[in-house]
Amino acid sequence: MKKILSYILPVLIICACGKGPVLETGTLPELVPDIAGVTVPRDIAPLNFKVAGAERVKVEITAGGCRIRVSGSFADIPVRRWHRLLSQADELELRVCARIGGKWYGYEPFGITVSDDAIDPYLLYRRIDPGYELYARMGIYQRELNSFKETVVFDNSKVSPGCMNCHSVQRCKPESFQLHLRGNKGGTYLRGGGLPDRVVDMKNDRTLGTVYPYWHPSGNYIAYSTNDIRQSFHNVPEKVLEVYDLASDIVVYDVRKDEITVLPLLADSTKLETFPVFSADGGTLYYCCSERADNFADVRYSLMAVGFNSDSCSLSGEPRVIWQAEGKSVSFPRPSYDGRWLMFTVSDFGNFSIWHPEADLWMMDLASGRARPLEELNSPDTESYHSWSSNSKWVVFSSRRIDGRFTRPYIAHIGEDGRFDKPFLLPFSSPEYETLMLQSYNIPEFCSGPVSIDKDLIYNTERKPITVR
Amino acid sequence: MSQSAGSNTRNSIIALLFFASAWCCLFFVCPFHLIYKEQLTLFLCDKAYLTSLLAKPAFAAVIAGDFLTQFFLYRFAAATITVLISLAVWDGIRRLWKRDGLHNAVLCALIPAAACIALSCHTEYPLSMTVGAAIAAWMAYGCSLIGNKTLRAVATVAAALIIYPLAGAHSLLFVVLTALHERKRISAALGILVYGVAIIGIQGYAYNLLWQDAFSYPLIRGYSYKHSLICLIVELAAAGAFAEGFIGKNRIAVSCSAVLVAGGIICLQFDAKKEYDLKVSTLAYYGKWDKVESMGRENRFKSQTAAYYYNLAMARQGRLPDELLNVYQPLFYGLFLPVTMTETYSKVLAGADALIECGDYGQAQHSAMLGMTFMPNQRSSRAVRRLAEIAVYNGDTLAAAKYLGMLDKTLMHRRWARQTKALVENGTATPLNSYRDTIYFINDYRASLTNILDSGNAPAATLDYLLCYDLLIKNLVLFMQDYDRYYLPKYPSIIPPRIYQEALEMMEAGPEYNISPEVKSDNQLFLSGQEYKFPKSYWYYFKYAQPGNEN
Repeated sequence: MKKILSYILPVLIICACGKGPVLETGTLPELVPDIAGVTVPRDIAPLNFKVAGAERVKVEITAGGCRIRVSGSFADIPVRRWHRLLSQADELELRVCARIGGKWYGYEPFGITVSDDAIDPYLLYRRIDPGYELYARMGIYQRELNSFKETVVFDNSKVSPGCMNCHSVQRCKPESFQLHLRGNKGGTYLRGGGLPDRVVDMKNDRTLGTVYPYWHPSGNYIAYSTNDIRQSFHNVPEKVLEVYDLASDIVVYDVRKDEITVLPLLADSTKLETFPVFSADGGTLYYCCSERADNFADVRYSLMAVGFNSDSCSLSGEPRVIWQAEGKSVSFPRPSYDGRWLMFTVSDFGNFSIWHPEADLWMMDLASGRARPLEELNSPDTESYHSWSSNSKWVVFSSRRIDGRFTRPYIAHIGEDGRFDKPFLLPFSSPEYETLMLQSYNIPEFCSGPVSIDKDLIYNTERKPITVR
Repeated sequence: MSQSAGSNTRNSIIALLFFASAWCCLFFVCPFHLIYKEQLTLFLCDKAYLTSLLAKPAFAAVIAGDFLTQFFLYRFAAATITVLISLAVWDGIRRLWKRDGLHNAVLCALIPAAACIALSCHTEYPLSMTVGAAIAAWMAYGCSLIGNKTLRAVATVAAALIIYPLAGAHSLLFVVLTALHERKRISAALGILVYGVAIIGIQGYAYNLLWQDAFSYPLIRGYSYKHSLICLIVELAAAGAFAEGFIGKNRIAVSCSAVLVAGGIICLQFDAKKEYDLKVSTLAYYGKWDKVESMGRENRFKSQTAAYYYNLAMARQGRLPDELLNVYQPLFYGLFLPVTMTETYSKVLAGADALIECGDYGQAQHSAMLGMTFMPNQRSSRAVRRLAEIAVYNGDTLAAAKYLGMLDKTLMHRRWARQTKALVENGTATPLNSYRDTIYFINDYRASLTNILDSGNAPAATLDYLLCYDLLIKNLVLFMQDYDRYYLPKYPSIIPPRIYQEALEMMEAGPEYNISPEVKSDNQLFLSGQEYKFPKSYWYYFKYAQPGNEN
């Protein structure tokens, strides 16, 4: 039966392409976004796409005996039928005809692999105008991954207009959540540690402001970097901005006690320490560290590790370099939750890799200590922030590969051998949508459930002071 | 009967005269306030974009309003469309009030329409607000056509539910008009008022808006319009007009009220200097540099923007130093428009123009991007055009493709986008060579300009901007330093512009600087007390120019 179908289907699709003759190109279509050969989870929204330059497309998606046919200015795949197809197939085959300049063209079919590895149902991110230090409106949003539904977690329209940043959940769990708010309603919104939700005032006279957070696997601590951040401009056309630290240290926050612990080893004024993260077992603190330098282009961060004792909230042993490379700088280390991998971003210098077109993703096998560039994920443009799904089978990462200016989230599946399948762009209802959007998707994080915020706490309650140890 | 017909004709003539006068006012008095609205919007003829508008209140008003605002690129269309939409508001209310048996309904309805026209004179009052008022007026009229009270009540309740997603803040006008229509049944009228206001509040909350925003959307609060009450003006005008028509029959009084409402609102919010600024900025955007030059030379408002664009026009002709002190200069603020949190978005966006001329594409991109970010809706056709140009200059084909792709989906910028795209594709538009990489802080013009000059690849205007900047900040040491480093090696044997000679003479520069004998003798005269003979000289500027209050 399958064999018969394989003969009949091409004939059917060609017949369906229109009245005129179809010119067979023998090539793959130029898809926007590129979804040919990607691997998707079963619970993902339809990968709607268009063919570049086409006035009209006709698409047939087949899997086993099931088939979806769509036509229009782009492939607008019905959500229910797509899910029905995905629920029963491991491979999809897509055949595309496109009308360009009044003529119909037929293309080589291509496939999409469906993985049995589950993905967390939500993606949390901030939407912001491209990262300049002045801002207008921004918000934290969550997107249901199996549909196109996006909801606001919190936006700054009601806090006239304050900045918000560095939302973070503990291992994709919405029960432990933090968000920094700046401006006249400033504070850090905290959920977790067995305490009711609160907004705390992290400001104190012993540390700089807390910035980049990462939750301990126990949910009892958050490691923060404290940074004095500056922004400047490059003078060359291919670069735009440089964001850098004048000073930075690392502290640990006890969520149960609302208490900051200063770590003397990571508060060296001659060094810049930032981007702290805990290992999967919580026994190691990874971070990035650089010597101070007069010239911004000489600031290069190494990937460091030091033991962490969660009982006493203290460090153990001496910090050690676990990865560095000549002329390269590390940012955003992120260990997988199964303890096997450590992904990080590598750029030529500095730590704010999103404005570095050369920034790429690398990954270290924590068992062997060997690291490699993730060629299967990287593009000629920026790849920067990334985070793991709760089962460590998927990563979401920021990339500027589409237009070099606006960051978009891409999702990729990792195999047992540590190699990633081809990534796909977060699905949008229309392939035009993301090209028409003038905001960036910032800090994408998987989430196992919807995050909700008690806005009343932000608007109407006193900021809870913290103690510093 | 004939008397009534005659009265109606007279009323209609008065109404026509009113709209004709309003058109003349918009066309002749504040055309650039309207034209600038086009630059504050970016309407895309694209399904995905239109669909995204459905998730916000007032989608019908916004889609229709923003679509029509595209044509505001043309002065005639801007005035005509604004008046026509206001005429639709008037006609809807007139028909409703005629059914209500109001005296002089034709004239009374002019009062809320006058409020709509007058409010439209503000750049941040979008056309979608007036479209929303028209939707409200016609829906109120539609409900009034239902004779059966119960059916009418049901229709009113249903209409109140759907009008907010359609028309936004001016759904309150619907509430007011239908309540007035039911005035004979006080409980029904009060019920409509309470229900209507509550529905707007609830729907606003559902759209995640503050209550103030719920009653003002699609007008964005927090810009020039600080108060939500601004949105109640049309409703108050309608209520007042109704009361006036209900109580009196005096045609002249009603007509005068309409004129007073319009005149009063315009006087309260119209800013002639802003109109001047918008005009010079828009003319520069349209490439009409001869007009920019004449406006800048005259600069009757002592406007920073006019001085800025005059300087830019001169720099484009290589005449910046020659003309610098022949016109009003607000110190160095006439050379660059800085990006700060307190600066208006129109100036931040305009600031990109001089930076592009100097080859400082990093800061130019920053200005254009932040100019757009600060705008009420964070979308701007002008900013996207600037960003596309900058991307082309930078050789950033991906970013250029994005911006040009967006403009390709507009009606009015499509041709420009396609022409620019063709230039990029056939290699006519070639990117500039890279400069030496360094970093500098925002608004640090000297660091940026000297770096561009050090690259040896600077556009012609860069050097003049740097030297004039040194002069206007009255730092002659820096001027000499930059002159020796960049100007003298480039032009060792020519006689420099007079302003440079005057500055060099102040620094007692040697013969290698080619200072003319005339400048030397004039300097002696100046120093001997005959300053009044040289009011346009750099010596005079150096001695007397002080920061003023302007801008």
